[in-house]
Amino acid sequence: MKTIKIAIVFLLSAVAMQAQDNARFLKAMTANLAEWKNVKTPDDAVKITNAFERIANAEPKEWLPLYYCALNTVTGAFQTRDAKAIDAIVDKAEEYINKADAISPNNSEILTVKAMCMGARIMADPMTRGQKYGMQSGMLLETAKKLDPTNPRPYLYEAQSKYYTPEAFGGGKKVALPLLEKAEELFKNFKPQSEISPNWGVDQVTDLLKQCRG
Amino acid sequence: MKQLFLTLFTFLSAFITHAQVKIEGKITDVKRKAIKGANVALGNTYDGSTSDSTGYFSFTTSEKGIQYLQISTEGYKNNTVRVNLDSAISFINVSLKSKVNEIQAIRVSAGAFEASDEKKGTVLKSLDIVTTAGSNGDLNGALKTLPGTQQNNDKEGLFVRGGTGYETQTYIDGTLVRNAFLSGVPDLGARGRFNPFLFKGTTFSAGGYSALYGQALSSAIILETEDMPEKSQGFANFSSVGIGAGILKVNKAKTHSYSVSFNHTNLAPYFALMKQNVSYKKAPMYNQIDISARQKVGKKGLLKLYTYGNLGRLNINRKDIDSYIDSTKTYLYKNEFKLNNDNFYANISYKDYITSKLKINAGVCYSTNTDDIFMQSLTQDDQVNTDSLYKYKTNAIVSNNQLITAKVVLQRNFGSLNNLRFGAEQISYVDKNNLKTYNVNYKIADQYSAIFTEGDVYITNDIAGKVGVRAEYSSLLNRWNIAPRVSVAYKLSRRGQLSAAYGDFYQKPENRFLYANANLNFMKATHYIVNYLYQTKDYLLRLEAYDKEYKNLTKNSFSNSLYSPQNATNDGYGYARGIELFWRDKKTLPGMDYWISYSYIDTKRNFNSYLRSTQPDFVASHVASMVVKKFWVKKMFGVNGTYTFSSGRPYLNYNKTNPYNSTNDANLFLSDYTKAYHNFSVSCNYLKSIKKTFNVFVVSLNNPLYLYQEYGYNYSLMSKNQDGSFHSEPVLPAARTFVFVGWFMSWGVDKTDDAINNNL
Repeated sequence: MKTIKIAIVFLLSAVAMQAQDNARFLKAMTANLAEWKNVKTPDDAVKITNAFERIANAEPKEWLPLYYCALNTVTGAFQTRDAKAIDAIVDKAEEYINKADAISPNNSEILTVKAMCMGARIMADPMTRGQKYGMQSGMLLETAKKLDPTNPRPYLYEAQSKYYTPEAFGGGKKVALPLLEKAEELFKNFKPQSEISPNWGVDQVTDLLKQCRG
Repeated sequence: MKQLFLTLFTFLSAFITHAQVKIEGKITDVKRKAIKGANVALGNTYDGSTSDSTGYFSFTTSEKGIQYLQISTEGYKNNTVRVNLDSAISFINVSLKSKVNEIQAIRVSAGAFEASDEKKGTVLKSLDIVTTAGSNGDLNGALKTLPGTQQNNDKEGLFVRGGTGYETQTYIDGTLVRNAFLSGVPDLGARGRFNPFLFKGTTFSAGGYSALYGQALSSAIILETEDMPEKSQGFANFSSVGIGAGILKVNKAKTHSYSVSFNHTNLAPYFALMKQNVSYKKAPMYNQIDISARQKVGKKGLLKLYTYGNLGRLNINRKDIDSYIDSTKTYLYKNEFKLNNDNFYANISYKDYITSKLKINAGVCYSTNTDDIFMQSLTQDDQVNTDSLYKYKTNAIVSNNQLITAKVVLQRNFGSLNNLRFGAEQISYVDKNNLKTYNVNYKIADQYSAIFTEGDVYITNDIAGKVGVRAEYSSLLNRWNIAPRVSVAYKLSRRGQLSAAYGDFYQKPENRFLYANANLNFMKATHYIVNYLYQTKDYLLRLEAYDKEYKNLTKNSFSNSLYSPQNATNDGYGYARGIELFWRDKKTLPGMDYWISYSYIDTKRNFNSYLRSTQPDFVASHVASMVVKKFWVKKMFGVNGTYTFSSGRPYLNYNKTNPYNSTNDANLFLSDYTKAYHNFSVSCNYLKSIKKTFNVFVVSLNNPLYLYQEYGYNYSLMSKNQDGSFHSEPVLPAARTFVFVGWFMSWGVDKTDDAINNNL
């Protein structure tokens, strides 16, 4: 009887520990995501990426912290003014997203960020890299769309890259508009898997729609 | 009961938070400079913080016991600090060691597969070549706007830093190309054979090139073909000089591809419209076929095949200055020059990783070139000239050369940057010359072998070196040589670097000397180069100074048998010294990209039939170019202009140095200079998508200002002016201006591509 009681206690504590771990993970991720929405400067972005990276190192089975590290980093690549630094930044972003991909393959959100990494590389040398990386990026987005047709983010990123591509190369406002409208519609109905799953981008759609329409 | 309570207590205590411990410190580099943005993490927990601009970090944790702080940041080696959270934590100072980082490190050589000089050389992209006005889509035309080159448009080859065209060689995917230029017509220069779009990059090295290449005394043009194409497409071109079409197919998985294209170049319609200084009985016509294939091998390997075939025909008639009559200012006769050229080139290359640290690059290449030349003297109404004095001008020559080369290079990486390359190369060639008119046959065959090794050493992020040595043997000369090559680069700041190079370069004498006498030695050039490079996103400044010492150049006599190659020796010598400037600016003038090149050279040599050591007739002391490009992205329209200047070139004046005379005043040899040379060219290109095709329209005008240009003078030993001097005429371009109009189009052939477009 005693043995059983001790066993039950240990079992309960194990379950409780696990629940505590999950709770700890959720709590830290939620806190970081809240901070993430308030990021204004590149230094802030580094702090948040580092926080996600610490969680990622402590939780090797989770893809979400790595996903946010990659997303932050590749966003930095899009914002940097130094074309020569882009490749180094994207290398880092790809390191994160490839680790995430290994944990959670065939993941629509992860493939979207991978496509963003390819797209960012174009900016280092648009004339020479436009075709090659443009194609690879496009193919990743198509797969992302197929894996999760309810995900608005592949359409959002595709719209953004088309918007900034010159018309003669198949881009421009007219091409971006239907993609943005599709993204807008998907955002309305999108249900994230959890409160820490990717759910960003609706503001970017609204802003870009304003540019396209008026 | 007590036991249970105790267990519950232990169980519950796990949920009780402990007192918070504060950890703080400072992160710096080895020079005590603050590092911001470093990630300081308490191992295996979420706790940690990021260092601020002063390097300071702090955070609190409820962990206990021995823990490890892990500090990581870009560009530095990770660091781990042991802390005991149960006792008082003092302020933690961490200094991080810099990591020799691939992106931040300076480059003496760059890229994984090409072991050549991307920094000392200047890299052009195929788009740069095609859009440079005056280049007419010819790689060598574009290279002539870079420092170190001469504007010798009347001669075949690229003339670099005081060297002849023979001293610059072209390499495709590592292997030597024997006939990189279309067969030249005397005094009319020649275009490069290969389409610039075939190559993903061109490296032009004006000196001091890598130990992986040899047999070029002056410089190397290193071309690397495109790897796997991105998508299938069809393409066609229509222009004022010809038409062409082709297809490129890539499979969906991008594991194999092939491409076939055909081009027909015919200058007859153009010459009918634009008068030339020479008359063409048959305007140059070329039929060319290019076939490429790519096959992915395993995970990282790639097999490439490129074959090229070109049949060229031309027949040009020029007034014969030997038949010039000064009293009537007329020419009795003209010279016919008929050339049929058949050229075939095939190159198979393979690159792969044998292990994650060992790369292999291997190539095999076969080429054959046949020139069937017929020359004779004709009367003005196209009849064969029966005058016995002109009989010697009838000449039929068939020359053929065949080349097989094989080369293998292995590269072993140590760490992320240091590496060692070693390899071997074998070139077998046969060169035959059949002087049909005299029934004389010349033939030479050579087995050339070389082994080489080279290493890239990165001592710190700021200092890198490249050390190599090459040994060569030629069976025809029955001699061998060893050539050391060293270069070093030192980073002065984030954007500037200084580098220096030293090397020995050997080359066999030209074939015309070897036909008569194979007992010659390699010619030798020793290069000393110093270079300063400053590069930002928008600007590039390159200053370079060099000294080349030439030894063992071929030497023969200036006799009345006119520069006969028999009895040549290696007693020739020379030097070339100069400074060069290159400035490229993509920012100052809005929307414009321009570059300026200036080269000053001081060179003298006493070689071949020279009577003294003097500036050669293929060198101008000052050469400058300015290339301007402007592209309007909204309109997809671009304009390019190129202006080139070159000071006069020496030329041989028979009236001062008489080939019949055994005693000439050596000081008068090559003492005359041509007028300075100016050229201005402009081109426009317009890009447009029409339905599913992508189109580029190009209009280009060479010398629309009709500037007078002369390259030298030709003298006649048979025709004398009324004052008794030998008659001469300037060497002029075939036409003062050249107009090119072209339309290039491409369209996707891949069905999946259409499918994607349809689904949007």
